[in-house]
Amino acid sequence: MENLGIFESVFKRAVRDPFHFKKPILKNVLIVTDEKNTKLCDTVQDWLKDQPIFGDAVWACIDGSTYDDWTSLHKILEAAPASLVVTHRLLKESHESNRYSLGSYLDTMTQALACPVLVIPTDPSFAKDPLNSVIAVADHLSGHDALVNYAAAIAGKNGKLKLCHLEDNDVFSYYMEAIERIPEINSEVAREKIQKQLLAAPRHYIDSVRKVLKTERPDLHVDSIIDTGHLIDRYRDLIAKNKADLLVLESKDETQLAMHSLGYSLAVEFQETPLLLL
Amino acid sequence: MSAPAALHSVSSGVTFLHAGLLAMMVIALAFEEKIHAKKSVITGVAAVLALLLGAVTHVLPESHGHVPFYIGFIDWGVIAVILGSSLFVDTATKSGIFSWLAIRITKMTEGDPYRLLTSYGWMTVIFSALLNNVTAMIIVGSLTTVSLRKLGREKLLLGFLLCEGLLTNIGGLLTLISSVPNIIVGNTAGISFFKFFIVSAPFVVVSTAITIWMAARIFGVGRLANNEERAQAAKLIETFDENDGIESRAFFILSWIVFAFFIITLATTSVLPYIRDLGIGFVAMAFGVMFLIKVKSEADQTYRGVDWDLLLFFCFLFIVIGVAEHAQVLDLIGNGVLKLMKLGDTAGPAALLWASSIASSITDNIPLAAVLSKTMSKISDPAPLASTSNYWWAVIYGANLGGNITPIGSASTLVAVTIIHKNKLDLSFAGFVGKAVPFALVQLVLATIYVFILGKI
Repeated sequence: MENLGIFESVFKRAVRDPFHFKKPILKNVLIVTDEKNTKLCDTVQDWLKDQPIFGDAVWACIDGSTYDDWTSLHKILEAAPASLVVTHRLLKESHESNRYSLGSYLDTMTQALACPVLVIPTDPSFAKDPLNSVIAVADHLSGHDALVNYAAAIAGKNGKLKLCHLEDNDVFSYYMEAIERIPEINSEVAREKIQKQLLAAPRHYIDSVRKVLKTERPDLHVDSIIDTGHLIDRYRDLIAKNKADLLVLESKDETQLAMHSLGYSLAVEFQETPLLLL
Repeated sequence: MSAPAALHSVSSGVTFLHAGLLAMMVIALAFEEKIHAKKSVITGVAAVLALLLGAVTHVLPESHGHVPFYIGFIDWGVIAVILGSSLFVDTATKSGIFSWLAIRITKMTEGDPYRLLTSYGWMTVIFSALLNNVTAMIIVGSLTTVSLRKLGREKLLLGFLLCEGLLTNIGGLLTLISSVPNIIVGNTAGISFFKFFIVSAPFVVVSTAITIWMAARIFGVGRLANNEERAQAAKLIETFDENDGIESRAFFILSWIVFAFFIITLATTSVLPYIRDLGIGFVAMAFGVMFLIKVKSEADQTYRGVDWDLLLFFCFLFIVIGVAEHAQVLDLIGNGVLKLMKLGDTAGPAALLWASSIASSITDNIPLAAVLSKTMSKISDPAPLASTSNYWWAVIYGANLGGNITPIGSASTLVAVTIIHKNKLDLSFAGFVGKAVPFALVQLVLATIYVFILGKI
């Protein structure tokens, strides 16, 4: 009966997760700031308006004088549903004492709103750079079409799109330690095969993305990184090396009412890079 | 016709004692799952007890030379076919040829449930015929599970798996090496691979078509209703990559070529000079060893994949039957068989076919085939049974198709039930019988008519 498991694995492995292209439409873009004026709104609009995806967008600005707490902000956001919210960290909170936090507004926003949230750095110098280099990040990239679709759509003309799938070494080591204690399993074979299989699925998925984007966005240069490592360190290197103009990642976790663990870590860590949180 | 000639004088008490031991072994094999014992252990214990009992009751022959007499009881031709085929199929499977073919066929159906059932049905029959019915059920059953889940049609899984399980035993009738009863009876009767195929193919084709047609109606497997459903299903089924299981393109191509040669050689064994003297056991072993060259540095891994339980089961079973033969138990059974045969040329084979099918539905069909073929080979009056006799076919069809009445009737239906339970589908022993009996009855009626026609040709 051992062969039963073998063939089941063979056929399960043969099933691919193909990429389905669907261009996101950004009709209403809402910029939320805690400033009492619209200066930041103008900066953001100037920065993004020439990107093809924002071509038909209607822009609106919510400044700090229109809300006092999350409830009042939420009411405003619900009254005018947006396709994208652009905001920054620590709305109406001290940057000094809350350095390692997104702030309660942004934290809640990423979970309560259905639309993506573009988080801009506090330093306005970000707006000088066009969105030429976009990195899409996931701990399990396969099947996350929305992530790739947004990343591909928001990248500028002739831009670069880097698709990253990094397996967390710490998690892998933790499981391998358990496997090494099971005498029935050859741990060296298990290490090699599991690692190979973990990286095979994203590789196939990225191949499918390349194939589709070649038709849908032929100007885009698609690159990929599929590897294992310590996530934050690897992403830090990656962002520095690629001079990323935008990081696209998922913030919602289907199983819990809190921010996706990798999304939160990266959002807190990379404060100088604009982040698109889906 | 008369009962087989006795080897020497044995008291009826001793014969009944040995018959009781044989019956106990058969009952233990029927309850193999309940007593949590492998087949080889059951027959191993029976062989030890039979030899001890044989020694005590003085029915055993003496050993000549260095080879113990009981080693001579083992039919090494059968063992060679099973071991050689196992080595060959195991290595060929690793090349990815079967998974490639299975996925290609799946994609050709474009995800339409009726076309899937038809394709998987025929694929089960072909794989059962060319490999063996257990491997066929494992390959097609695994693919069925994955593809129906992918298509979101889990509700059809039970019907598909049940139909495939039933078809393994029909496919098992196509060639001499498709099932163990075929190998045993075919070897004893002297039926060649080619002859077996020619005789059995028409029945297999008709029976398969009817079984698939019945399954589609009973389990509600229909065509997709509209273009939207068809497009959606085709899109989902296209996500299978048939090349995934191929690790080496060269080995893949080589495997197809060698596999084709294997089938051609088996089919022509009886006419190939030198090879015909060595038999199909040699052919299976030769091709098995040839494939071992490919995995020479890790041949031990392949040896681990051999079904040693099955091989030892056979060795012990042949010893039990050998002792039973010397204790004249086979003569006793032979008298029963003769009573059936005396019913005439029409009713005789039919009675033997139905009796074999009922017996093989409640216990393993392998000991049944082994005992019956041995018994029938001893019948010599007025003349030994010719290889063309439809009595041999009655046993072959009965032993194989009886496996479709209960889930324990054959190894492949047991695999089907295992896959069904693995997928958390509810199917009890009685539930299986209730669903399978209409199919089995139709197949047995067809077989009876077919065996009758064979007797007239």
